[in-house]
Amino acid sequence: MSGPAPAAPAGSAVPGSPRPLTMSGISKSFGSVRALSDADFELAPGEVHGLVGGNGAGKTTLMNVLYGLYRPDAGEVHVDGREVTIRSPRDAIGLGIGMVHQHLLQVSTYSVVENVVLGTSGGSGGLRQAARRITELSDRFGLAVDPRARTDRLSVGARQRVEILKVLYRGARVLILDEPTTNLTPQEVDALFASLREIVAEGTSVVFISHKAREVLAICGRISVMRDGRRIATVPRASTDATGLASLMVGELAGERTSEVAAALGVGEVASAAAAEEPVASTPDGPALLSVSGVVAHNDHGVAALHGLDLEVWAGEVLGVAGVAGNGQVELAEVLAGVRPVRQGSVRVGGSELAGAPTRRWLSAGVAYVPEDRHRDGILGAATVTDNLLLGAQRDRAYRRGGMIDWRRVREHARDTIDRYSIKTPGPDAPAGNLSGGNIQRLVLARAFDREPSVLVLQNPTRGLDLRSARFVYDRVRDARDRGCAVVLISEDLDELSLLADRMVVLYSGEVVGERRRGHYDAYELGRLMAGLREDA
Amino acid sequence: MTEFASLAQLTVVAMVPFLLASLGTMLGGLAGVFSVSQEGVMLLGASVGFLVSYGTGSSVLGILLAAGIGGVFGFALGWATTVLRLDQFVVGLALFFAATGLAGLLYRIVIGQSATTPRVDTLPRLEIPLLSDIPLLGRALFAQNLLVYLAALLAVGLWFYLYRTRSGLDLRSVGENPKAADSLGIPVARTRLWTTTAGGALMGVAGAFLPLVFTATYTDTIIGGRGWLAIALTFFGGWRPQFIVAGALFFAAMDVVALRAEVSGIDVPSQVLLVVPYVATLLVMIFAFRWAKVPQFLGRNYDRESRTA
Amino acid sequence: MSAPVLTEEPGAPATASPGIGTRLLRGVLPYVLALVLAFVVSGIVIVALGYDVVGAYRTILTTSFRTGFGFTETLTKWVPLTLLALGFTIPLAVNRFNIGGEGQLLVGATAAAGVGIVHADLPAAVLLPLVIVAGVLSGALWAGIAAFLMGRFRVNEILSTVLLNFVSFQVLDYVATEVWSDPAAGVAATQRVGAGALLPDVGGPPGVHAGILLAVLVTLVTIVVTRRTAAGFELRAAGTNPRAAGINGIRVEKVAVLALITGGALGGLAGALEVSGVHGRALEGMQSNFLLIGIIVGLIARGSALWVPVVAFGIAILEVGASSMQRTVGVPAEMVLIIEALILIFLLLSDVIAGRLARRAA
Repeated sequence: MSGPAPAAPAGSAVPGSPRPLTMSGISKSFGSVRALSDADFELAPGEVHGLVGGNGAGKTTLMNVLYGLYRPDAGEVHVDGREVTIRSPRDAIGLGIGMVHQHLLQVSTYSVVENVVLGTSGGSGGLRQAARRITELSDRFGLAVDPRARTDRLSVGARQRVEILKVLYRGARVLILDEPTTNLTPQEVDALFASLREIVAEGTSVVFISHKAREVLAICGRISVMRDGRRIATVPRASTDATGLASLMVGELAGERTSEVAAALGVGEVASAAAAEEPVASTPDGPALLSVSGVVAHNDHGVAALHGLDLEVWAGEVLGVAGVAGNGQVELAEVLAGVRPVRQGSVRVGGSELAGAPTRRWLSAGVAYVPEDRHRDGILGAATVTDNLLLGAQRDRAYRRGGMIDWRRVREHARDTIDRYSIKTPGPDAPAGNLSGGNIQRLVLARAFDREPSVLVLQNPTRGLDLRSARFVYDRVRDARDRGCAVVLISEDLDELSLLADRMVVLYSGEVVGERRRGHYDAYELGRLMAGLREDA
Repeated sequence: MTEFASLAQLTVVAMVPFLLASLGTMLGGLAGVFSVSQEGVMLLGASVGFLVSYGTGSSVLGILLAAGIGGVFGFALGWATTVLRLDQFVVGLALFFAATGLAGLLYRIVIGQSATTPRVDTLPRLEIPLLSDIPLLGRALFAQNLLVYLAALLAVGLWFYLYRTRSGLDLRSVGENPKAADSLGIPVARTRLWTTTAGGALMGVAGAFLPLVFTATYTDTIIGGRGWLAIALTFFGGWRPQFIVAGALFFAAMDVVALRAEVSGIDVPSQVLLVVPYVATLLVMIFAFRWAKVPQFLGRNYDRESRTA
Repeated sequence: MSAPVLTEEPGAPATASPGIGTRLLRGVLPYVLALVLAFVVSGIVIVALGYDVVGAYRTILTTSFRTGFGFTETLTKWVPLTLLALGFTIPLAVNRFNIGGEGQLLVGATAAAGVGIVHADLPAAVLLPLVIVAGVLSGALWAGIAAFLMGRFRVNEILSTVLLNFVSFQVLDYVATEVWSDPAAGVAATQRVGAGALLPDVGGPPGVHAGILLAVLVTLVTIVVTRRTAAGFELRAAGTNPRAAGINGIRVEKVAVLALITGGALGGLAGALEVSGVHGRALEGMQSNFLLIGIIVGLIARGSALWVPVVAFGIAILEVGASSMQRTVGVPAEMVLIIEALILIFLLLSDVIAGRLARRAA
């Protein structure tokens, strides 16, 4: 990160005073999946403690146990040297523990102050007094937000500040932040770090969960690394670096294809993460395969979310769409997938107009879609893997016999696909919802590629995936491009975009506000665009 | 009494079962539990209220026990959907059946086969001096039985509680985003349990109101769809007490118009008049479902440890 | 709703991982448990009320089998129960609740009776199909009102189907008192339909009206369509996860609308068969409590078209036994509705227990 270096590593442990928090021997299983096995953790007063590891390492699960959201199968928690039992978030709040979740937990129709005071009805004073207190806190810690504003009208960055204020309002002495930078621009990340330094300066301890080595090195005094459901090391900031941290996080995978590991783990500069392993694509000739012009589309509340958007994507090209969440990404992805109605404008694939056509026509025109929320949009959770692989192709001639579905054929094909995509499942008849995130994504990709798509739309395709699965996705995206597919990769992860995109556009408030070619990606410059500062301004 | 004044008075009386059942539906719904057992719970309330009043001569006791049995069914809905996390609609239907069967069974057991239809005394009117002498609306508003006044107070009280207190803010957050509520220490299951229990009690009273105020007798068809109409009314009222009161007035007016027109001998087949409330409701729902601000998590169960929600 | 209400196994036998025996046990055990518990709890109530519980249960369970007449009555009840249960479960597969079977049955019966009266002189070969088609179409049309309101204006189908029931009472009442009234009948009833509109008996004596063959056929078709065809797959997919289904090209709203209309058609068919096979006319109260019981059957069968006819037969036995129990032992017939509701409730509870056991085993 090229931002200002921390004056001093925030919060070095003060020796001698009792530990505000220790966890030991924590185990937790979900069904047959062991998420934590004998994990431990220790927090010193007034420190920012990084908790890092790849996806699925158990970082969030461990903190959810601490916050009372998950009941551990075994283990002990001590707060200020006393053993405690935390059955619910209420207990955790009572012990001075607060948590900011990765998915912001707010009642979107409530105002900021209403969201902040929720659950404190035992406390005294009216909302006006609470609003004053919030203003005071946001001034003190640099967390600017209007207490009267309705939460769903705020930007993602502001909503995250509300979450931190919720914790501070309750006077927490331990603040847990779960992947807080996911939806922030690089500039907002710097501002967040500045606030965190103020917060620890007043004696609060912070647990900072991340899977990006770069970020924890910028803010944390000590860093604990988790892998396979346990803590494997804790190192002081001073005695480690990005490479050292990355090799702790990935273990046996280290050393392979470094640019991908670097992208997934956020090692080093964003721009250099895509070390010029890939040649810069030449400007393509001929007409674009996918062309979007003047598209207007509404969000779920009937408010315009895309305002006359234009895009062109050529065959054999990966177009990255960068931006902070909530700037029209979901709407763009769903428009391109033929799921969301196009109010105005046109979407053409290979010259034929698709705007206004039913989803089925988009599918047969060769559009394949890998949605962001795999569980909600990607699969039929309660149905079998076989059913899920058939989904969308149930009327294909290949699977029909005498007006009925040829189940024998379908099952053969499913078994074959499970092999080819190495989908780990107890069998083709296991419910798809029971698979791990990585295997669900393999299933979704397998279905998408079955259709031999000419346009592939992906949104945050590696979010929440472990490194191996993320690499699988990267490989498939490259395959698609090499096969002559026009790929649209919508992502909030600049590392991922820098690695894969031949060209990048920035989406802000439903419009494209800038474009860069491979070799000209600069994190802070892109960050300014993501924050809505236009090129011509 | 003028024709208008008497119609107004009837309408206010007819409002009460709609209002109580709808407020009960709303209360559970704002915490995220959608009940579909109104019709059955109301019938059970009518049966219990009638039988207790018939046996003891005390209609107050009848109403209290109707509230009690309604509360039991409300609690069962809350328990099955929070602790056991069973599907809200399926459990609601099962409770609807059980309550319907129980209502008829209790009546048959206590009354048996009797040649004459047993009757109870209806609730007395409490006339508020001076105010009830106001022309036109005086008697409609101030010469009613105790339950009418209580229902009105309840609507105002619920509005104040839900929209003007911190505790009401907490309650509504459970129906809007239970995960957010839970993460701030608001007890989701407990909130859902007490709201469905109180809601069920209100439905029980709404049912008891019919034999104890309207008919003085019990029949298996006494509810006549008012439980289902109460669900429609809750949507129509946008899940807010103040609009539910207004909506209840409309539903009651439809009820009264249908009855009155028949008596006054307008030259229209009686069947046409009798379908007016149902058809009017169907038409009104076209608009109601557009504007109703339904609690975001209505009808969905909450599982803290679910990893996919 | 986020979670699907009911899920079915895929179209054909799966490669069973836990072994056929365990699977069968897991499938049947909750039913056995629910039945036993429901009868035990109801038995305690019957004893507490001072009735002879052994006599009551003996009557309930054996009335259907003691006489040919009892068996015929059971099969006759089975027909509308199965049809209304299927009319409930088909829309349920896309998470839509059709609580309007009563109205669809009555409107179907009214239309069927109307055709049977107006064209009373036509020969059976023409009139009978006409009567049945009239019932099916008008049932579909009646549900179509709710389906239209749901598809076009997002009006909750639970409410619209229920409210249409209340309207249908008046439709029948109007036709039975003002249009083709039979004042001699004692209740609001239409005149009798022509001889050509009546279904012949099969089997016996005493026989069952031939409508039962139609009901069996409809059940078989439903099973095949839901399990083996693309339409059935789309129905299932749209119910399991509407968002994912929509993204993969299935028009969920259209599927739901069609499912609701199909459900109405089955209700209308039930009405026509009651006219042609049982009453010979449409009359007040002919809907009996088929709606309630049909829904119970559908829920106990967990929405599976394969189980609906089986459960419907079991429930028909209870229903036929109920009135006989009231006559011989004195226990009010309503007791049977309680038993049925308890079976359903205990079945739901045993699912929870089975789920927890399975999780612990994993």
